Amino acid sequence: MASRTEKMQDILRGLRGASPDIIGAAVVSIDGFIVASVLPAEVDEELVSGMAAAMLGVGERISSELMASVMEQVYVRSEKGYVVLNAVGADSVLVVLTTKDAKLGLVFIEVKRRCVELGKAIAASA
Amino acid sequence: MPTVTIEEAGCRDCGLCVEICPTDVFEQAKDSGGAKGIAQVVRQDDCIGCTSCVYLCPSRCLQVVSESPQRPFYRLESNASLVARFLQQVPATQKLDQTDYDEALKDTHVRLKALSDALKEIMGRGQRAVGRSAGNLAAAHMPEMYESTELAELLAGLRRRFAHAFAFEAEVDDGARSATLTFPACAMHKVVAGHGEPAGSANLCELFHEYFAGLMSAFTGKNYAAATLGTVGQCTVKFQIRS
Repeated sequence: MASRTEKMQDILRGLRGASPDIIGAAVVSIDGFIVASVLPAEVDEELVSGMAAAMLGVGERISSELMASVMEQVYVRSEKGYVVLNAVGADSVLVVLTTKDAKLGLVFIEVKRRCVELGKAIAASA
Repeated sequence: MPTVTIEEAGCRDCGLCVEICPTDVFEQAKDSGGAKGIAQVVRQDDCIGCTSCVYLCPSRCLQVVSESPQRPFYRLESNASLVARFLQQVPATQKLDQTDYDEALKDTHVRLKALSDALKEIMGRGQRAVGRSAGNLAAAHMPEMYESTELAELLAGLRRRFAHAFAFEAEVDDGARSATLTFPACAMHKVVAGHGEPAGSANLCELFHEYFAGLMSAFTGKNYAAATLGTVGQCTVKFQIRS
C-alpha cells in the first residue's frame, strides 16, 4: 500500500503531466516543511517551502482582514511565468510553477481538482 | 587580525565560501566565457575569523590564521565608544549605572516584542516558517556545531554555546528521533512576562521555539518540528523529526 507521501507524489506527477506548461509542484505544510514535491532540480526546496508557508500566512491575513473570508488562492505573475499557491485542507498549501505561456484557466481547474485529491490523501492519513 | 588564504590549485569553483561568508570577503573570478571560476580573497580586512568558509569548503583548500572571533559590531569605529562605555573603560562620570542597563534591556524587550507582533500581524501562521528560516540562517554562524554526529552531543554543544544567554535541560528519546528540552528561564520569559503575556505560549516564545527547531534541523540535516508541551513556570518543548 502506497504511503501518504507516495500518494501525494503521484497526484503531483499527475498535475505536472496535465500540461507541459506546469514545470513543478509541491505541497508545503504551514510550518514550512515540504510534504511532497516534483520541483525542478535547480529549485531550492527549503527556500520554496519557507516562502510558501509565509505566503500562505500573509494570504490568510489579507483574506481575513480585508474580506473577512478564508484564503483560497494566491498567485504571482512574473516575466517568466506564474507561481500559484492554493490552500489544501487547513494546514497545507499546493505550490505550482508554470511557464508564462500557461493557460491560467486550465491550470486553475487542474489545481482545484488536484487539491481535492490532496485533501483526501491528507485526511485519510490523519 | 585574521588572515584567510586560498590554495588556488584545490578550488573547485563551487562558490560555497562566497555564499557563506557573512562579510563578503570572497568573490568568484569569471573566465573569458563568463563562467564562474575560482574563489578569490578580495576584502581581506573584512574577515572576522568566523571560519565558516573553512568548515564548508569541500576541497579543504581554505585556511584562516590568527583568527580571534570578533563580531562586526565591535569592529565598526562608530561603535567603539559605545563598546568602551559598555565595558566601563571610560572616566567614572561616563560610566553606565544599573539604571542604564535596565533601560537598555527594556528597549531591547520592546523591540523584540514589536518585531514578533508585527510578524504575527502580517504573516499570521506563516511566521513559524520565518522562525525556522532564521534558525537555519543563524546555524551558518556556528560552524563548530556541524561537527556533532549524535543528537545528544549536538544538544550538549548548543547548551555550552548558549550558556551566556539561557540554560536548558535536554532528554533525547525515541532513538534520537526526538528530544524534549526544558527551558527553566530563558531570556524570552522575561520579555513576555514584562508585557503580561504567558511565558512559553506567547508569540515571541513560539518564534523562538521554531528558531531552535531551525537550528537543530540545519545541524542534523533532518527536519525537526517544535511542539510546546508545557509552560507552567518553565517551557518544555518537544523537537521531533518530521517524516
